[in-house]
Formats: sequence, C-alpha cells, structure tokens
Amino acid sequence: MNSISLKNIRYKYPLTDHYALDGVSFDFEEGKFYGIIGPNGSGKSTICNLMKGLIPSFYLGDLEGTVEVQGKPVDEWEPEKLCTKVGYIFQNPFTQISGIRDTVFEEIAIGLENLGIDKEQMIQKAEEITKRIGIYDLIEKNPNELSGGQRQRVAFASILAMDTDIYVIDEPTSQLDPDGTESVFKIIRSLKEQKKTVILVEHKIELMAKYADEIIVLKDGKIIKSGPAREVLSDYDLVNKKVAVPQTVLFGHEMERAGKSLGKLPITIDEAEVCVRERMRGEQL
Amino acid sequence: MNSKEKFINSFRNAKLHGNFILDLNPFTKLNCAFAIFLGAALLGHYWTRLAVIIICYVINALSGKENFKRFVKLYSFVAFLFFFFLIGLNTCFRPGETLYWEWGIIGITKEGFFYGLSMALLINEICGSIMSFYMVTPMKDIMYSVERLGAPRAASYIMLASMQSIIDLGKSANTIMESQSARGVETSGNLKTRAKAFVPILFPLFLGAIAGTEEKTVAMETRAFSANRKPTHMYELRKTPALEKVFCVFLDLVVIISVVWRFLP
Ligand SMILES: Nc1ncnc2c1ncn2[C@@H]1O[C@H](COP(=O)(O)OP(=O)(O)O)[C@@H](O)[C@H]1O
Ligand SMILES: [Mg+2]
Repeated sequence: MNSISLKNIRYKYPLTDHYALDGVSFDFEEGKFYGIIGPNGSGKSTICNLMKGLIPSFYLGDLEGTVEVQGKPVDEWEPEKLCTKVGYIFQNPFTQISGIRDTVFEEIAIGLENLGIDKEQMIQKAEEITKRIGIYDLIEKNPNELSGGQRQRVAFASILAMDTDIYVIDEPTSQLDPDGTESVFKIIRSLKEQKKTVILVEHKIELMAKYADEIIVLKDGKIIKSGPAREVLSDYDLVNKKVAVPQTVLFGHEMERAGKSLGKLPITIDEAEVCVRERMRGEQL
Repeated sequence: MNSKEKFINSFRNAKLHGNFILDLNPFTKLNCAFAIFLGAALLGHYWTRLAVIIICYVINALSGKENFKRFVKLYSFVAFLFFFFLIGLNTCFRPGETLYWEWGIIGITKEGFFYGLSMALLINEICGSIMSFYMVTPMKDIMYSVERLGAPRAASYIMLASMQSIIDLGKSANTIMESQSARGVETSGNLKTRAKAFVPILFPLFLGAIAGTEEKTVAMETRAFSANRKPTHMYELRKTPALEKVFCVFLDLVVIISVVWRFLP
C-alpha cells in the first residue's frame, strides 16, 4: 500500500501569484526511506505541509489535486487520527517545544495527553523513547533551557511518542552543530531500521546518499527527477542544473572525463574508497 | 531506585509539593484569597485590613523559605509605595475639618491622613492576597485544575505559553543586546544611552516572535492539540481532602455572616 500519494498537485500560497508546487504527482511506498532534495524555494517544505494536511487546513490558498494518506484523502482524516499516522519534524528546534511544560519528560507526553492515553502507558512510553534515542539524561531538565540540538532531539521524542507510521522530516539539522546533527541522524537511522516510512528533506547530500532508498529532486515546484538513490545521484544532468550531488559523484565524473573511469560512480565516501582502491590496484598491475 | 527512576515514578502518584500550603487545592487557595480580602474590604476596619496583610506574610512564610524571600522582596516594595504615596497625597491635599498645618495649596489634615491610610490598607490588602495566591500556587497547578473542570486545552495552552514567551522574549532581548555591545554599541550607562540601544532592537525582536508563532502552531498541531478528546494528565494533583472543603465552606460562612452582621440595620 502507498503511505502517501500526491496526485496532480498544484498549489499557490495565499496572496502569492506563483505556484509553489506545479503539477506534482508521486507515490510514497510504505517502509521506504525517501530523500527530497532541491534548491531553496523549490517547494520541499510545501510538500511536507501538504502531507501533514496543514495545506489546506492551516495554510489556505489555491490547491488543486489530492493528497492521500494510506489511501484516504488527507482532509477526510480526523485530526487526532492523522496525528497518529503522520509525524512531522522540522527545522527550527526552538518552535517545536511547547513552552508549557517544565521537564522534558512531561514535554514528551503532551501529544499522548491530548490523545487521552492512560497515564501509566504514557509514563512507560516516554521512558522507553527517551532511553531509545539517548535523551534519558535530560528527562528532568527544563526543555525551555536546552541547546538547539537537545531541543531537536526532544522534538523527535515527542513525535516518536505518537507512534506514527510515517515520518515527514524537514531539514532537521540545518540549525544544529555537528554533534547535534550526528545525534539527530542516529535517530533517523533508527527509524530506517524499524522500517518506518521516512520522508526526509535534507541539504547534507552525503548523508542522503548514505540512507535514502529513493531520491526526489524538486526544482521550481516540479519534480525534475526521482528514482533509486544511485540512479538519481549519478545523473550528470543534475550537475548541469546546479543541484548539489555528493562530492564523490563529482569526483567520479571527473575521473571519467579524464579517461580514468572508476568503473562505477561512487555515491558515498565508503564506496569511493573501495573504487579508488580497486582502481589503484589495477594501475599497479 | 536511582534518581531518574524516582523522578519517573513520582508521576505515578499525585504530585505533592511537600508543604501543606502549597499542597492545598488551587481552588481552595483561590477561595481563601477571595474570602479574606473581600471580607476585610467590606468590613472596612483598619484592623481587619492590617490583619489580612499580616496573614499574607504568615502564609508565605509557612509556604517555604524561598517563597517567603521572594514575597517579602516583591510585596514589601509595592506595599511601601502605596502607603507612601496614598497617605502622603491624601494627608497633604485632601480637605478636612481638622487642619494641622497649611502652606499654599498644601493642607495637612487628620481626615486626609486617615482616608489615605484606609485606602492604602485596602489596596495593599487586595494586592497581598492576589500576590500570595500566585506565590503559593504554581501556574501548572492552576492550569491542571482548570482543565479538569473542563476548560479547553487551547485556553490553558495560551495562558502557560504566553508566560513562557515573556521569558523567552527577555532572553532574546538579552542576547541581542549582548551582541550589540560586542559590536561596540554602547548598551550600558545612563537611561538615555540604554534606551538608544534598546529601542532599535524592539522591532526585530517582536517580528522574530511573531514569525515563530506560525511554526509553533504547526508544531503543536502535530501533537494532537486539535484532538476532540478529554485529555489525560501526566502531572496530577491529589484529590482534595474533605477537610479542605469543609474549611472553605466554614471560612466563607464566617465572612458572609460578619459582613451581613455589619450591614444589618
Ligand atoms: N507561508 C508562505 N507564504 C507564501 N509563500 C510561501 C510560504 N512558504 C513558502 N512560500 C513560497 O513557496 C515556494 C516554495 O517554498 P518552500 O516549500 O518553503 O521551499 P523549500 O522548502 O524547498 O525551500 C517559495 O517560492 C516560497 O517563497
Ligand atoms: Mg524549506
């Protein structure tokens, strides 16, 4: 079954006269890890807002086409049911903390409280999640006094507590330092291991190459390329269109142009290492 | 059990603050605050009003050292200001029969002094009760009780979140001022230089706060704030002991009877 389907989406934000998304169709399959890349303003966040039903319920504007979550149009979902299907984490760690709880432990439980979950269950869930994603040490801290990286992990924990099947994650590390980025990626990795459907918008293309099963490239509100990560990232056309690709891919292209092909295009550092090692052995023979 | 386990376990039972005043139900506290200050205001004697002010100090003292310190610091200052100005102005400017001394428009009268005293006592008594209520009742306790009564979560969210956003605004103002001063902008000194440094940051400060609200709404939306269900609570207060309810009724009766008694012809 498809987790989320976008069907012929065209969308204009209120008071704007250009389409933020212009004819987007895509089926996100269950259990896969999708990466969405593309330049700023290409519509990545808009897609995320659509999948959560925030367009058109929160952001008005002109919307054509339909968004389906698990086969059902997003506007037919009751908000409280949708919250347990699609979890949304975004860029700014500071706006994702509620500001109404004074310990991390209670912060994580808010979503569950709103859903009317029994107290003992909430306590166990919050405990389990904080342990799982490595913020157990923070449970007594005031979430309003944490660093950006810590807050982002608390935001993750709060969404993980809702136990959703689909995670829509919009540039979660763009405001974090390297340590914060690493710990957030650990969480994302664990989602992949649990076979959750993950839709990740991320500029750090090297990380995308490592984790994504499929990559979607957006530009000016249109999908200009999509498919298995390797296939998409190897496309030289992306370089022409000024879409960032991993350094190792550029390196591969360069080697090819110099007539010293690596055999295949490496999309991660690890692959590049293997390619180069084999290549050098070949040279020595 | 280590400290983290203890902390988690503490949610399994009703939360107790470990002090009998703090542990009173928020509505009990509210009831007492109102009964006492309304009673004293209506009875109108100097002594009942003074007694209320003293009771406020006593209650805060009983509620813990830290609380008491904060209360004394804050309230004593406010109370002093009211006493000073209300008594001062009334004594000097309020016309009256018994004139002690006169100079131009200033006329010190006995009636003026007592009128000012009565007014200052009244205002301080009201301030004291309200302040004491907030001192001995954590905001989250108030919100919990109000939600239990059936108030919508959105309402309590707005209350609590605005308190937090005031704190956050202060913090970001500080951050901006610090970086301004690191850039060489004069941020300390007399009032004028400070205002000169502060006023230009107000616009970006509030703009930033407003820009954040949209995202915050979205973030809270993803955490089921629009769910149409009766929420549960991880943080719970104890059930109100019967004795507390009895006490409230008793206090209310005493106040009502004394007021009625006084106004009876
Ligand atoms: N709240 C909004 N109101 C009006 N226009 C918006 C809003 N958010 C985004 N846009 C516009 O929609 C287009 C796509 O933006 P966005 O989805 O945020 O891009 P990305 O996340 O890829 O950087 C941009 O042209 C942007 O200016
Ligand atoms: Mg974006």
